[in-house]
Amino acid sequence: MILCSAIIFNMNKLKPIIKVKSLSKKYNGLKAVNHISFDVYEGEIFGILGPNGAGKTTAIEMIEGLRDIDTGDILIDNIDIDKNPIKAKEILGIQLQESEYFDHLNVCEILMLFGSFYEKTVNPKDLLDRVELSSKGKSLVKQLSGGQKQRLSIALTLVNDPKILFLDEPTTGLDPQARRIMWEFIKNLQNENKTVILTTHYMEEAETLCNRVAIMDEGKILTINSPDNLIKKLLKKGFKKEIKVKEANLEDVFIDLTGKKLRD
Amino acid sequence: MKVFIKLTIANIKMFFRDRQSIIWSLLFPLIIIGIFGILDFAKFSTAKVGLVYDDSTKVYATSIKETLINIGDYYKIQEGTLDDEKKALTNDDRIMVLEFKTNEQTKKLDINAYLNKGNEQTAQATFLIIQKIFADYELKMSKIEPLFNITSEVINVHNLRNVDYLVPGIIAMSLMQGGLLGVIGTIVSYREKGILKRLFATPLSKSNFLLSQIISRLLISILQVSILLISSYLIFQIKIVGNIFLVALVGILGSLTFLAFGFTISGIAKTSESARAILMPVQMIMMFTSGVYFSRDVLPTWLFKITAYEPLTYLADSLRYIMTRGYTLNDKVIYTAVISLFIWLVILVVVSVKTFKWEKN
Repeated sequence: MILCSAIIFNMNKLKPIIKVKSLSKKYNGLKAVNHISFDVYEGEIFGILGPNGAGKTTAIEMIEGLRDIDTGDILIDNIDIDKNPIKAKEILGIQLQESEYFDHLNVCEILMLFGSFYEKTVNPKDLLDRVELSSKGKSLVKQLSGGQKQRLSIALTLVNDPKILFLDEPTTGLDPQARRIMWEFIKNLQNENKTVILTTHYMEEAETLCNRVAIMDEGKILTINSPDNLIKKLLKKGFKKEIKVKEANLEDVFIDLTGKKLRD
Repeated sequence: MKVFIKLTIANIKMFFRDRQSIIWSLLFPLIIIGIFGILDFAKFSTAKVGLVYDDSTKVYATSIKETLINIGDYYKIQEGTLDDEKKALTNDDRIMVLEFKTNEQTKKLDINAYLNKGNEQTAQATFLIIQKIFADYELKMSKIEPLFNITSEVINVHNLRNVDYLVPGIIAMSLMQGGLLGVIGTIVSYREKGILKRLFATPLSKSNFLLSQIISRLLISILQVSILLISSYLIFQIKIVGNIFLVALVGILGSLTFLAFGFTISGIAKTSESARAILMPVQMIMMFTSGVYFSRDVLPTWLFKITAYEPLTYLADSLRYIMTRGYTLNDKVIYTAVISLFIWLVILVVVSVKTFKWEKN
């Protein structure tokens, strides 16, 4: 495997930077989110997993301040996002699945416009360098490839040098090279003591990146733990996987043949 | 404040980079003004009179011909055989056919007039003219003193050329389109694409966003109207008789009203596609019944009454009266229009506050 899961995150220095208490939301009598509570520690990569319709998108949107809360409290770095959304949003960086932006502004202008919404801003040029879009400053969004659009979304989440990032399926639609590079990128965010909340349908991604994951279904959290602990627990229950020992898989072949460099 | 200014500048930048919106908001009205300004609608209304005569009656026919031609460009004279002329009449190509022949028994002049039933008013009026010509002639021949002395005098009036009538209406129409499409093209499209959602994931407040949309639209409208006025002045020598600040005030009020209208439609329609589907007929109906292209006098009475309350009617009429006649807020037409537009604005704002959704679903 190319990435070793070097855990930079030191579980001994636990400080919750997000505190969710008894969060719930109802739609038409149906409890989409059913009184969930959990903490996210500063500097960790926290995954939220669950099948479609589990309520994770609704829960996360409430934590991000994009949706009204029915009941519960959400503290972002001790700021109540319901009472003080603007102050909370200052330290958040959010990547949504929708990746459309203004048709008639170029990449640089979009970065600067979004930057103007915050008190703290980063130089657009630095952002572009960081996501390897330096040559695309004057391009329009429609001139970018899928992978480049994804990198623009990431750049936009960093425009205010946030403490906490919410990434929604950051590697969907990317080829294996781009995926690995994105994983490296997310790991590097941890070096800056940023906290990342990640949603993904790729279990391998969650296993590789996340210090802990929460698994949701039907509006409730089924479990929160590190991927390793969860796997150990499963094995203790007597689960046996049919192991065909392969020393390499098709993805290794692919990378070997086509190389590790980013293809735009 | 800084955010609001940056957002407004970004909006205006985006407008000017959008080829479609430039074409529709600047080029299209100018073309309409140009076309209508060049066309001479007077040529629409001419009446053809057919004359049928023989050698013995030619002199009478000629004198009628000259009299009618002298009245002006209105009458065009055709000459031919009775069969040809009657055929032309049945084909609606004549308003009237006059047959001059000598009566076999009395040896006097007989005049037969065939009138176009489809255009009876004009035909009858023309026939009266013919009768008067001959009555005058008889009077002269019999040397009787006329009982009445009728004189006429031509007075100089503020005649509106086509362009004078049209330009204020086209300005009103552009303000309408700007307001309606300004919302649908931006906010609704942003909502659909998830851009709105992404924007509000930042500390940007909804009021800042909304305000900058409104202000950008107003600034663009001011620019648009200025270009239309300057072009009309240069090409057609349109003069603004009234106060330009009043034009601006009424224009801004109209713009805001149509912005609110756009918001209302955006609240009812879920997607930008269905919003456009509602907009098209609404715009078409208003354009043709508000007196933008032609006077509302041509409408049937019931329609005339209803369409008097349309916001575009208020806007077009007041702009026209201010620009061509110099009316002010003291004039009933103007203050009625301003108050009515304001009432429309309030109603539409209240409705849109209740119906407008920031989220997609």
